[in-house]
Amino acid sequence: MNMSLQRFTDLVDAYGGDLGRWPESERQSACLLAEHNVHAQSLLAEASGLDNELGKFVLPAFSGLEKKLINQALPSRQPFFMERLASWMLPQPGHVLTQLWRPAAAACLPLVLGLYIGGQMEVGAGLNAIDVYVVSSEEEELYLISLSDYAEVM
Amino acid sequence: MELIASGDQSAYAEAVRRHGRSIAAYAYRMIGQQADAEDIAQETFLRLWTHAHRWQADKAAVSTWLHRIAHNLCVDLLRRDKSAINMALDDEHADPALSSEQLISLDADRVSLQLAISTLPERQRSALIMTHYQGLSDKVVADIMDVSVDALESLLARARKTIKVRLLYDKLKK
Repeated sequence: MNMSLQRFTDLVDAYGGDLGRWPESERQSACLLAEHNVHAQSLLAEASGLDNELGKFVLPAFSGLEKKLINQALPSRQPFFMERLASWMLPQPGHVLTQLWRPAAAACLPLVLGLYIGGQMEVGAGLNAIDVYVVSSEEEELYLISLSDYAEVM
Repeated sequence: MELIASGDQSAYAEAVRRHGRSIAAYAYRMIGQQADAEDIAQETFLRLWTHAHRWQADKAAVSTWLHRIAHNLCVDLLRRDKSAINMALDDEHADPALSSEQLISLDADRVSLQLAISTLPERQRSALIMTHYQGLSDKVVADIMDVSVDALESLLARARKTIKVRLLYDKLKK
């Protein structure tokens, strides 16, 4: 794709005179334009002057930095409960189980739902049971039956 | 990164050897103080150690991830302490083989450049340093700074123009 001189100018302004610093996707068309266009060449040369100035930035030696970073006190890695649970439940990336995990989880979902709904129904049954009179002994049961018979007679 | 996340200190040391100086250099270019830059590098690698399990290989390279942490720490420091930018202008890094005249000229150029960079607005400075000095791609820098590539190019163009004018002004003053 051909690059317009305007786009070339915008890129020079932003990235300077070294095409190696330009966006990879536009480098080739920029090179083609720079080969044949004198104005593009002068723009690159001018921007290279500023690049040279920027190259004068001096960094400290940072002597002993690596040692300092390596020897700094690192907290012990104690993952939170949820992290440990997740890492226990989910296979590590690249593990053969990674491919199987999602279908297996999807297949288990109806079972989990069934257990949940079943649990809810049991809880409901338990609530109804509150209304049922609990008979503690045989004598009491006989007494209750007698009451029942008496009621029928009435 | 998986080894670091599992608490492997030798993997951590390897990451320091690969990226430590680059992160410290980024922080120094942003802040201008060696001690602050080293503190930021330390905090960056501490976070690498404690948050390694959050890193996602498909989202960012380790270098990008570390730059993002260091960038946020630099921005926090700059916003907290507006006077943080103060380029160290000592001679400790000068080449001893240079003559005193060369040294004065070189030092003046260095001072002029570092002051010009230090006076850039924070976002322009970040964009220039990450793109020009740290060698990160336009998309990566735009992602770290949470701007579009177009906005990044605009920041870069303004930064370069400001520095150019500032350096030219300093040369004319001499």
